[in-house]
Amino acid sequence: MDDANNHLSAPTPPAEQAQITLARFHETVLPHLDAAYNFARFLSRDPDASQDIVQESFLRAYRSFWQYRGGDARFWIFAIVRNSYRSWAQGERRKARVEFPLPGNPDSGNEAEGPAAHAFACDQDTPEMALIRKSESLRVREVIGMLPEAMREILVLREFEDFSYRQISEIIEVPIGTVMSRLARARHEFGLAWKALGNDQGSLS
Amino acid sequence: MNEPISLSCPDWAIRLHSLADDALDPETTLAMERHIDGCDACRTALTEIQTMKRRIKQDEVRWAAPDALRTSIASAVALEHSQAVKVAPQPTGVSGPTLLTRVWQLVGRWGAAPSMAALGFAIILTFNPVRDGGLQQEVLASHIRSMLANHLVDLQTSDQHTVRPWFNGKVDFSPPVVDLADQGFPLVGGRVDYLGGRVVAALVYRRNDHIVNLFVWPNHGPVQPLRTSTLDGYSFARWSAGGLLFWSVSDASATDMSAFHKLYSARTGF
Repeated sequence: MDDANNHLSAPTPPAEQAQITLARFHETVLPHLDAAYNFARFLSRDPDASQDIVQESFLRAYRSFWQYRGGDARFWIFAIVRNSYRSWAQGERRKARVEFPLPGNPDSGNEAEGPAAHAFACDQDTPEMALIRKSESLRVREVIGMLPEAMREILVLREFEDFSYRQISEIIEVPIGTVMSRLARARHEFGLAWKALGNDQGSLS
Repeated sequence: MNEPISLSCPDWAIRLHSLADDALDPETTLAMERHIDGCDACRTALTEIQTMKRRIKQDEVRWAAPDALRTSIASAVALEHSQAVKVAPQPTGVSGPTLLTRVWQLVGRWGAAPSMAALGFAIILTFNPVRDGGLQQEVLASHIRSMLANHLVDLQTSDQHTVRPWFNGKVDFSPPVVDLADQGFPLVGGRVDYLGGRVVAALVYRRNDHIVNLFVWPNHGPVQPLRTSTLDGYSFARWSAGGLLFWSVSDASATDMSAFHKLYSARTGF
């Protein structure tokens, strides 16, 4: 009887520690899943890859959770998502090189059609769907998707996540001056693409 | 402050963005605002930036994480957790050393007063379900793998009439399939899996954020009454009926799992 009770209440510090870690992880990091997915999705423009990237990021985050010293968990997970994305993108580029071994080959010319062609090829987008879509929010997604990677990245970090210039500079590992100029450029390019797609002139007045 | 500002200066354009982002110190903000009051071009540019910011920052523009991803991350983290909790990593399947280790763990936990009764109890606990224990590890491994490897279902549909025929030709028996969405266990789909040295049917259900795997294969042994167990925070139920053997596994609560068994059996007659 006593033995059984001892068994049940025996202190098992490592297990308890792990339990606390798990609970803390659930409380502090998991709530940022949607934001992390949004980031991965805009970066990769690929729904399946986004899931893989985010899953890997959260696992990495859990494994290194003991290093987390409080502070903005969202900031922390975003840096990890960005790293996971970059590994994925590197793999994709390697694959692309295997598929198109001759960059000068006319067969691979469609690769050079620019970001717009690429955006349509991704995210389950077909030109037909692009025509059908009506709502402004979908057009915003589309326009962001047409921008180069660095521009997509900084727009998500600033406009969706409201990270400060300083936080952005740490996440994307560039000086703060670069953050400012890149943001200005990203917005400029967004504006151009928005108008080029026949959207209103910005409803300025 | 009143010096003329060249609008073609890139620094100035960037500062307009910083103003829109509320990222300037108060003094500069004030100076900027004073200038913008009297400058149509700058006012227009600032409004344009603000409009764009509002346009981008709409909730509907954001992508939301799919439920499957949420579930799969929670499971993957739970798996990591359960591995961290284990005193020593245990291989799946029951082998001699694992059993010995387990017994010694139990003996160790019993502490300074290892009565023979307690030891005997431990041995009964450990050895009695020994055949199922190996299978239980396999069932758990398969359950976890199904979520990690992005291979939850081969056939994704909540239509029970699609799932059952789908197994034809894939397995040599016909697993009873029923959608229990009205009872809070929606059918997610089906999968063919490999357990205990044979091909089995796996039916996948969802309970809130938890995934339930129900493995089904022919029962060549005696009839088995319902037995439930837990391992590493996962709940198991196993029973046999109508010549088939059933194993369910999930990280849902034991209460949920018991409810699942009752519902499934009542609806299918198995």
